[in-house]
Amino acid sequence: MTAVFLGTGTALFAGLLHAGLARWLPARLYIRATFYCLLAGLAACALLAVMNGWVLDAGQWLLIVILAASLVLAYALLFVGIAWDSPTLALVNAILDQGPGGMPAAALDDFIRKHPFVQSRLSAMLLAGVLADDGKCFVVRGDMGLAMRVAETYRRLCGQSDRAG
Amino acid sequence: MAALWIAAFALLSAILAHVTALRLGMGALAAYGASLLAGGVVLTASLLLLPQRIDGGSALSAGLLFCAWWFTFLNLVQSFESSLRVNVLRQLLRDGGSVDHAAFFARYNDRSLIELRLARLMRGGTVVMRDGRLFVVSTPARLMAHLFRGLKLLVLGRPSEFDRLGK
Repeated sequence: MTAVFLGTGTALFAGLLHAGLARWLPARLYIRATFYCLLAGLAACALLAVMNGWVLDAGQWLLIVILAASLVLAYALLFVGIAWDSPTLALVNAILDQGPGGMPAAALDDFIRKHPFVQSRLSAMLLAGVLADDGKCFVVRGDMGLAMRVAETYRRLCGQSDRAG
Repeated sequence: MAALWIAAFALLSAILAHVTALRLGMGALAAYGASLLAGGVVLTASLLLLPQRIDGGSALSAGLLFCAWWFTFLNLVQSFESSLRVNVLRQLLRDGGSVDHAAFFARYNDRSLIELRLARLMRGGTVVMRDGRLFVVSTPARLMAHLFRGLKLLVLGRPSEFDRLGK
């Protein structure tokens, strides 16, 4: 039970630390910072164990690390939804903001003008190095191919269509 | 260590259930539900039926690991389906790994993206149009929209990523 508490506590510490720092971080560091917060959490966990004289075997330490890393990964994925607007939820919010009278269909133009999603995602991919801009073309980084092939294989396995985005 | 294996086995069952559900023609939401249910059942059955004794800590670990891994799986699969970034990468790789600027912006623009999302919302019954006005009629969609706006305000201090651009 000690390993569960330490693993969960480490993740909680890392998540709270990251959430507390997030508004001062540039967007390009959001996800990388979750990793550093996890390391800080694990260091705090090790310190706590040493200070209290808790003796844990290698299996328990492995469980602590995997549990904390898994929970922090889940937090990082949730954070992506917090940091970058979902076009669908942004549209729902824009309609709700208009009140009980609903949103005139013509107001969609204004919504689109104020929400440059394509530019936002393109900038994020260029900053992350997933895409490179050679001045004329956008070029995909070579090692993204494997991840996309795995994704494509899974979609085909599920019988999904190509229409996405 | 038993907790790791039990959680991994439950996740594998959840993934198989997801593939099977979609293959059987179930909707996306129902397939996620079937996946979570299958994983939960396998997790519980493994904890109860395993010959070796599983203590409370291991059971709790297995449950937490399964929840974290299933949430990761859900996000990855959802991003294959609807993430603009993943869609851009997929299309670029199909086109040989690069595309010139003009062709990129002709294919990807905010209008077509928003119109696609609006069409999906209307097809799913989340949004309806009456007399030329759009209305959100789905309570879960309202709750999700409010939840994420609240989280954005709490964590980042602004309701939208575009607020920092002053637009």
